[in-house]
Amino acid sequence: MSEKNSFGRRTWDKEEFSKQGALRREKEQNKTIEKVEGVSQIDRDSLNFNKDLNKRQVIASNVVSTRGKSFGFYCEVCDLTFKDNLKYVDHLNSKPHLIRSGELNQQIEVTLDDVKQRYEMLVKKMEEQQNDDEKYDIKKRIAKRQAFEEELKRKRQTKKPKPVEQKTNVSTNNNDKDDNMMSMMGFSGFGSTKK
Amino acid sequence: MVGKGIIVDRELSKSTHKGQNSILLIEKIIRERIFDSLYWKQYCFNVNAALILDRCVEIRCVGGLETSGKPMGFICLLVKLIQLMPQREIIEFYLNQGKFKYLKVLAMVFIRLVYRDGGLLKKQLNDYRKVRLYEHGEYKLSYVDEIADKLLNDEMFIGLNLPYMKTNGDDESDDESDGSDEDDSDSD
Repeated sequence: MSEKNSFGRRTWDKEEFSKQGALRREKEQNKTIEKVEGVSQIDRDSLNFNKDLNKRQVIASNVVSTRGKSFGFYCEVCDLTFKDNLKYVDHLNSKPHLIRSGELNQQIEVTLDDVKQRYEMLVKKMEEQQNDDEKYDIKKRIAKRQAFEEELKRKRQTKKPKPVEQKTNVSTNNNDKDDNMMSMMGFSGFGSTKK
Repeated sequence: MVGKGIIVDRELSKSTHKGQNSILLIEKIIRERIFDSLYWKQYCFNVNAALILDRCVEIRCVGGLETSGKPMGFICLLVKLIQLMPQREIIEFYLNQGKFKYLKVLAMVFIRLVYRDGGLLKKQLNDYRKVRLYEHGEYKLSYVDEIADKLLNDEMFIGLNLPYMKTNGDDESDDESDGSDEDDSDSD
């Protein structure tokens, strides 16, 4: 492919390299992303970034690459892991992901009827929620609250006396002995005024 | 886009308004904050005028940017609506529905910014429902009619510059002096 001429300089076979370049370009163009079958779309509304907060998990050590499952936010469709939620959501909005999950071509133009349908659906949902709230009995709520308060009271009663007793016992015993000794030796304490 | 590869304005709308891209109605600094926020990326992506209702129904406060610079849901949805630019009948449906007051306020601000139709806003002055308003770093109790009044008279609302709007009736001399602006708004 490359030869040295009489001055020791390389000469390049341009035809050969241009062929290679064309091949590589073709390969890159043919590399298309296809829809992954059998995966469910990730529901953006139910994304909860706080659900694993303050929890400990043991995960195999794949820290360097984003490929595969490791700690962080994992995208099942693309088999990628991201270290922060903003990057993760960015990925969910990226074209490769949308193609894989089949969300790409959503209709943007809608008619008034579509909007009305959606609206009525939401109104129904809201009314159902309100009905559920009404079913919730006030007497039950009061009973629940009373039980909760009684439990609180019991906890207070059982908790409170213990530490107080311990402290007083210890301090009185020690102080009596020390004070007698100190007065005998002629001083009132060991430098610090802390008690 | 200017030239090759230099992105000046992101997330441009497909529709124009008064000869310029409609998203430019919102100031750049606010837009950038919104486009970088999690709420925008999570909820305002791949939605249309029907799907966006799911989020509009959930708003519990009218507000722009928090003091930390984080945008609230209300302004994100407003910018999304301006980007989508749905037909006028859809916006008027948002305005006239009775169940969700925050959706109504959203439509009112949209009308003030885009259609600049004072008559439609004046019709909302008889709605006395309570609304939570976040302005100047604190939450306040407000009312739908109060917000309509603010939109009609003030120059700023939740950090948005309200563009010039012709007022019908009261000051005739004012209308005459701003004749050129009137012509612009009539043509749209």
